[in-house]
Order: sequence, then C-alpha cells, then structure tokens
Amino acid sequence: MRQMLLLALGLGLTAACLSQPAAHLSPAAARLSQPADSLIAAGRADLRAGMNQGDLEPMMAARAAFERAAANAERAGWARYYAALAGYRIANHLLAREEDSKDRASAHLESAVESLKEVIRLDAESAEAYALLNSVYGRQISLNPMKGMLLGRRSKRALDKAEELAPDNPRVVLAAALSDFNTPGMWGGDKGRAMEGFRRAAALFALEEPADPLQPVWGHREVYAWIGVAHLDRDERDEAKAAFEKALEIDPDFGWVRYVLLPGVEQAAE
Amino acid sequence: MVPRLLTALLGGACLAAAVHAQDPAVVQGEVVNAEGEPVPFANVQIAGTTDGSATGRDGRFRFATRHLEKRDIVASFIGCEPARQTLRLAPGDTTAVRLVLRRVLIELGETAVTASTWSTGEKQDVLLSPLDVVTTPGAAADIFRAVKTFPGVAMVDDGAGLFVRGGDVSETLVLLDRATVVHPYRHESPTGGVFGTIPPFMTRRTVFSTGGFPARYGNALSAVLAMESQDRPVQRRSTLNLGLAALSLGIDEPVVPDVLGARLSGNLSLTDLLFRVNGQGGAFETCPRSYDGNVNLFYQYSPAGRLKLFSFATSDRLGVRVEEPSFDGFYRNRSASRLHNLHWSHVHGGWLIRGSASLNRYTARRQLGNLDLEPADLSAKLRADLEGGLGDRAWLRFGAEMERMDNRFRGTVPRRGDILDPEAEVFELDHTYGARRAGGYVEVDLKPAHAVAVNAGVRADHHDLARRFAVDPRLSARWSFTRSTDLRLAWGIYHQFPSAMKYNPVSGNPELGPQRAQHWVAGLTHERREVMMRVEAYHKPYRGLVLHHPRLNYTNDGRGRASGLDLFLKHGGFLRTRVSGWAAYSLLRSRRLQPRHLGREILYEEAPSPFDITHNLTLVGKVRLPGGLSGGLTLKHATGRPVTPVTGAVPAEGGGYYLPVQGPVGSERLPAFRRLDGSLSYLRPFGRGHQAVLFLAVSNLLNRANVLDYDYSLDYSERRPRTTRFRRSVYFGAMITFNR
Repeated sequence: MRQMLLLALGLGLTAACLSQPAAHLSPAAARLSQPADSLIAAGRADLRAGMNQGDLEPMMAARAAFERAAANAERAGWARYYAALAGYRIANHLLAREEDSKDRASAHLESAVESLKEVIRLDAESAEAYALLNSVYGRQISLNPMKGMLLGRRSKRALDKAEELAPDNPRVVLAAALSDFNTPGMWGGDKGRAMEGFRRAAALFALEEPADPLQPVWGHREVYAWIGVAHLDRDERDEAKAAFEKALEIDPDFGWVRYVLLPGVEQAAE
Repeated sequence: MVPRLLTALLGGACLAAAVHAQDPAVVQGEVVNAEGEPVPFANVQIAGTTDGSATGRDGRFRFATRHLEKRDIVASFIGCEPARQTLRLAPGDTTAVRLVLRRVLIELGETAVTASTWSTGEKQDVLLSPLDVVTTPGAAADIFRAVKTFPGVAMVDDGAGLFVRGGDVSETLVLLDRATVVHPYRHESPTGGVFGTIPPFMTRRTVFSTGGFPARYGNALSAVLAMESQDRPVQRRSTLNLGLAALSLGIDEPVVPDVLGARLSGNLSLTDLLFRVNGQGGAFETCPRSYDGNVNLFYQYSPAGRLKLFSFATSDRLGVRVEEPSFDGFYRNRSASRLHNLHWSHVHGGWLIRGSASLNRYTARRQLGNLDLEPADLSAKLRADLEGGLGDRAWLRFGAEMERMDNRFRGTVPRRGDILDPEAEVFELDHTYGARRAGGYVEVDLKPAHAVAVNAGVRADHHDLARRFAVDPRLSARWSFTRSTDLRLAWGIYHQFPSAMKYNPVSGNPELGPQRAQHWVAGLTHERREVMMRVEAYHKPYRGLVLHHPRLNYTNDGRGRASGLDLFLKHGGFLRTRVSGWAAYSLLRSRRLQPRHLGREILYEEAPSPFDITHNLTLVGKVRLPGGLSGGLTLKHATGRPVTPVTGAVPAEGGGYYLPVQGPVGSERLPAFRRLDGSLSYLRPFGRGHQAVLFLAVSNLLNRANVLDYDYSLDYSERRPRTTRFRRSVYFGAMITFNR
C-alpha cells in the first residue's frame, strides 16, 4: 500500500514537471498549447474582445481555439457549441462590415449548423444548442429567402425543442423574443410579445449563476441592446437610451451599443 | 520506511527530470491555398490533441508539443477540406511543414456543374448584373441582344435572334418561369426578330446555356434561355422612362407587406420620331411600333409557399418595303401575343415543389404579295418539379411537363414556292393542327470526390403526332482543380420535335420524327478577383433534321455537324470597377445537308449552313467617369454568312416567272459584318432615395451598311445587296425612379 502511495507521489511529481510550459516558447504559443478548458476560456475572451472592437482577427483566432479544444472528448460538446457561436458572430461581423462577404458568411453559418448538429448528437438535451441553432437558421434565412422556405420549419422546430427543454434559460427566452421581433405579424411574429420576452430574459439573466464555468453566459448585455432596439421601433427614444445605457453598465466595452446604437439615438435627439 | 520513502521520491523526481529533459518538439510552417496564397486564421493542431495554433495574417504558425514520435498534423479552415500530414516529431527538434488547403466544392446548384452556361441577374455568382445588361452599348436594354454578346451566338444580322453554336434560331428554347415563350421576338423575321418580347426589368435572373444543358430542359436542340420574373416587391417604387422612341411606366406596390405584392408596367414604343430625327425610315410604310402591358401578382400564403401570377400582353406592327424577284412592294406584319403563367412553389418535408400552368396565345397577320396569312398559335403547358437533398453529397431533381400546341393557318400562300406576284396562283388555307408532348426527367447532382461534381440525368418525351418516344441521357462533370480554375465536361443527347404544322398531310408529312443532336463540350474556366476567363470546345453532330422534299414536302433526312471554340474574357463590373468589359470570340464550322435548286430540280449537298459564321468577335468596354457619368463602346465583327449564288434561271410554267438555278450551296459569303455602338449615361440621385438616369446612345457609329442578303431581279439576271435598315442613329432619353 505504501509503495503504491509512493509511486503515486512520484508520478504526480512527474506530471507536475511535465505541465510546466517550455521557457523558450512565445506566450501566445504557450497559451494555445494549454488544455481544452484553457483554450475555451481564452477563445471566449478573444471572441468577446473581437466583438467589442469590431475586429475579425481575435474572433477568427477564437474559432480556431474552439476547434482545437474539440479534440478533447470530454469538452467536445462545449467546444463545438462555442465554435458555432464564433461562426455566427463572424458571419454577422462580415455581413455588417465587409462588402461581397455573403459567400464567406454563408460558409461560417453552414459550419455553425454542422457544429450544433454535432453538439445535439452528443447531448440531445442541449437547450443552449437548440436555441443557438434557431438563431443561426434565422440568419441563413435572412441571407437567402429561398433557403428560408426550406429552413423556416427547422428553425421553428429548434426553438420549440429549446423551449421544451429549458423554458427558463435566458438565452432560450432571448431567442424566442428575437424570433417574435423579427417575424412579420402575418406569420406569427408579435412585437409586443417580443418586448415581454426581452424583459423576461433580462430578469432571468440577472439571476443566472452558471454552475459550470464552461456554460454560456452571453446574452445579458445583448438583451438590453434588443430592448433598446424594440423601443426605437416604437419611437420611444428615451426608453431606448436608458436600455442602451443599461447594456453599457453590464459591459462598458459593448461595441454595438457604444459605437452604433447609443450614438444613433443621441444624434437623433440632437 | 524512511529510506524507502526517500528512494521513491528520488525515483519519481529522477523520472520527472528525465522526461522533462525531453524538450518539446516545435512545429512551425505555413498554411496556403491551392494557389500558394497564405490562409490567415486557419486552425492547425496535432490530430487528437489540443496542441496547436492558429495561423497569423501571413498564414504562418508555430507551436510546441510534447506529443512526440509519429503524429498527424491537421490544418482546417471554413470552406476548405482539412489538410493532413504525418510528421515524426523528436524532442528538441523544430519541424517545418507546409499545408495546402483545398476549397470544398461549392454548393450544388443551377450552374455548378453544367458546362456552357451564362447567367445574368442578382445572385453573386452571375456573370452579368442587370445593370450590365442595360448598360451594354448596342444591346438597347434588351436581354436577347445583351446575351448575343456572349460567345457561341452567331451574328447573323442586327436583330435579337439567338443562333447558337451552328444551330438555327428555332433550336433555342426560351422559358419564363418554366413556361415556354412560344414567340419570344418582337417584329418577327426568319432570323428571329428585332427585339426580345420580355423587357429586361421584368426579369430578375436569366440563365443562358449554349450547350450541354441538363435533363430538366426538353425539346431544344441547341440552347436554352431561361428567364425568371421579378419577385414580390419589398418597397413602393415608380419608374418612368421617356425616350425618343419609347414611353414606359412601372409601379411596384407591396400591397400587404410580406404577403401580397404587385408589379404593373406598360410600354409604348413608337419609332417614327426616332427614324425622322435620324433621317431614316423611308423604307417603312409603318415604322415599327409596339405596346405591351404586364401585371405581376404575388401571394406569399405561408412561410413555405407562394403563388405568382405573371400576365403579359404585347402587340406590334410594321410595314416595310421588300424587293423580291416576283414582287416589289410592302411586307406588312402585325402580331399580338399573350402569356399568362401561374407559378407555385412550396416546401414540404425538405422538398422544394414547383408547379406552373401557362397559356400562351399568339395571333398575327402577314402580307407580302399574294401571301396573306393569319397564323394563330395557342400553347398550354403544365409543369411540376421536385428537388431535395439526399444526404450531404447528392441533390435529386425530377419533374414532368405536358404541353399542348395548336397551330392555325388561315389565308393564302403562293402555289409556286417563291412566286409572290399578287396575280399569281395561291393555295387557300384554313387548317388547324394540334400536337401534344409529354415529358419527364430525373437528375441527380453528386459530389463523388473532393472538388468534383457530376450532374447525371435522363429525360423522355412523347409526341402524339410523331407517335414515338425520344430518350435523352445527359451527363456533365466539373472538376475544380484549383480554387480558381474549373474543368467542365458535358455530353448529352437532345431531341426536338418539328412544329405541329409540319405534320399536316397536305403541305407537311405525318411521318416526321424528332430531330436529334449530340453535344460534346469541354471547357476551362478561370476566375481570379476581377478577371474571368473561359475557353470551351464543342462538337455537335445532328441527324434527323427536317429537310424540304419536292414530293413528301418534308423528311427527316437532314444531317449536319457543328464544331467550334468559344473564348470569353471579362474584367470587373459596371460601377463596381472604374473600367469594365468583356471580349467574346467564337470560331465555328457548321455544315448541313441542304437543298440546291436547279430550276425544277433539287439536289442535296452537304455545305456550310446559313449560320456558319466562322469568326465572331465582340468587345464591350465601359468606363466610369467623374461626376456620375459613364460611357461605353461595343465593337462587333463577324465573318459574313454563307449564301448560295444564283447562276441562272429557267422559265416557270405559265405566268412569265422564273425559277432560280443555284450555284453550289453556301459557296459565297456576304461581306463581313461590323458594327460599333456607343452610349453615355449620367446618374443623378435626388431627394430621399430617388434617382434619374439620362442616357444617350449612338447605334452603328461608323454608319456601316452591313449587307444582310442579296435580292434578285425577276429573271435573276441582276443581284443587289440588301443592307441593314439600322444605320447610324442617335437615341436619348431619361429614366426616373421614385422610391417611396
């Protein structure tokens, strides 16, 4: 018994030595050589920074990191979820900022769908994956109305499944509200219901305490941005401004609000 | 115990030190695409581990790993097949590697596989945008004329007729939303007509295939021009177009947003003023004029389904002097055409279902000497198509169509061939001939290997008058062997049934069968940034062509072949690049069995076909000038078409007329065809999103009198060249668009 303990102690020491990064490697290379959890954490930080700064490079680096983390079987689900999220964000960035980017954005969305299908294959109860899948399909539909005819039903099914699995997940509630907001009234959309959904999601985000550090936490600042957009749609500028300021309270670096939405409201007021 | 513990600790530490002494291996290198260009932000990792790195802007990477010995390294990037390489990694070593990513085959679609396909429209993969079409000098904002600037279309005259790769104008099938446009030309002539019937602003996309087209298209020997009408309007818009010869008005109205929409348009074209201003028109008794109106309704009844009703009516007329050996007078023509098409599309269970029901009615009156004919055609067509994916690597399409065509002929025609004297004997006709054709097809798009796509299909058609089936297998393949270069190959059998009139037992032959062509196409396409190049070679043997026969009227004894080479080079796009344009060159050799008239006798000779235009060259250049101005030039040069000289004449029986004695068929050629057209436009936005475009076009800038044919005197002793009626002319106008 004692010999076994000694052997374990010895092997532990060995492992400790092995886990030290090589001194001659660059900090970036060293960071990217770390295991899956670190890769996911670093990728999330890069993705957020890229979105805030409107910079594609960290977003692409984040996506590559998530892809690499997927090699770890235990973390494959989250890694693929975040790879899909990065693809979705990259597609939105490309479409908003770069001309002739439709093909590239479509490829990222297509890849995001494939990643989310893999997540669902690994965990059929992943409400997070279904909710994000609904949003990715929605973006694909906006790019190609003919595809919309094919994807509309899939998008609806994904949202229904997400709501069935986790009706109080704030990202699921946000996805449903976005669907209500962006769908024409004739086809079941309802902007009043969307506003209720945004507010409910905001309340749920405030209460969210993720048990797993890898669990998604995005959406809190976004929901206030959407509340502001919904107010703008009603021509309620003061309420919109208050919502945008709330989003900046949560994340002062939130680029979409800081550089686009809030200045837009302030300019209109002037 | 203590010594043992110390021994164990020491042993563990030594082991650790020994392992740690094994330095990690460093992997560095670059990731490039098939052209050797760096791929930034690609992911590189040791397979099965999280060790790796992302590439930088320069496509380079470097990382350390303690996963040693024999390892696979994988590079991946969106839109590319992962690249994998096996390395032997030794501690402390630095291993350099270069990984090449190859593009994943693009999504299977309309033009992904098919060879010889050109398209116009709003999709990103199209060759010419709608703006390119309407700003092409000499195209007169006409889709058919714009398409004539592509390679493979012979320049037989100034008109809009599409003579494709050695084929007659009747061998090009024209479709609108899958309905057959039976009479696609305005001011019809034996070479097609002056303009296309469908105005460009009613269409959102046009696919033009000059050969090797897939099985979904039937009853066409040479080519397909498939137009798609505009979709539901998303904003209110009015367009007013006022020019020297035209007035048109268009209104787009989203009646119920996202649900119901309408597009209405009307055009009036009167060329009297145009000819008067340009000092021409003397040859016309009635200058060409036309009217058309269009109602396009859309109903999106669910997110998965919609209905589109396209209703179009047009009429035109002209009277022009014609000098024939037996008649010197006016050719008068007036015609009216109606096209109604109800198009339905719906998605069910992952399948896209499309159906259309169309009705096309055409009436005309043509008078030339003793020829006084009132043809009327009525065509009805039902079509259904289904398509959907079979896994990730296959896409299935199948469908069926049924077409009913009635041809009515009423009036008088010369009893003796070309003797048009009003006093000469005539046949009186009042016949209606009807034919039914039913066809079905199945096609599959496959991705059998990396960067390879295949379209395989077969169709079968049955014609009730021919009383037989025609079966057409077709195959085309595309290999994208670099990111910017494709090799395309196509082969197929194509059948086309003669018109119903040719089956009548009096002046036709009820035993006629379908005409047959075989297409062999091989081509290379290279696209890089703003430059696109395409070269294609083809061979097209014909058999069973309808041939005039002195006793049987018509037989299927005709045969022939066409071979050639098409080259295309395009740079930029109108307004997108400061300078844009394209060059199209076609080399053609087309021969057919044809009759040679020797007075009362007929010989048959295999000779150059009447549309064997050896060299066709079109150069289109456009430039964006400062201050909202843009201008362009189009130069066309083509070998003169073959003609059969008349070397003598023999008196016909009674009436003092003569029958020609012809020399060898196609043994002479008309002088070369040349034409230079120019245009200038000025774009001025105003108000909230409105815009005005002022335009000036000069057609036939060099005022060249291109020879279109030869006319003969009554006894065929004198020959005069017949030249174009479209000499140098100036056209100007304005188009104003109000967006509300």
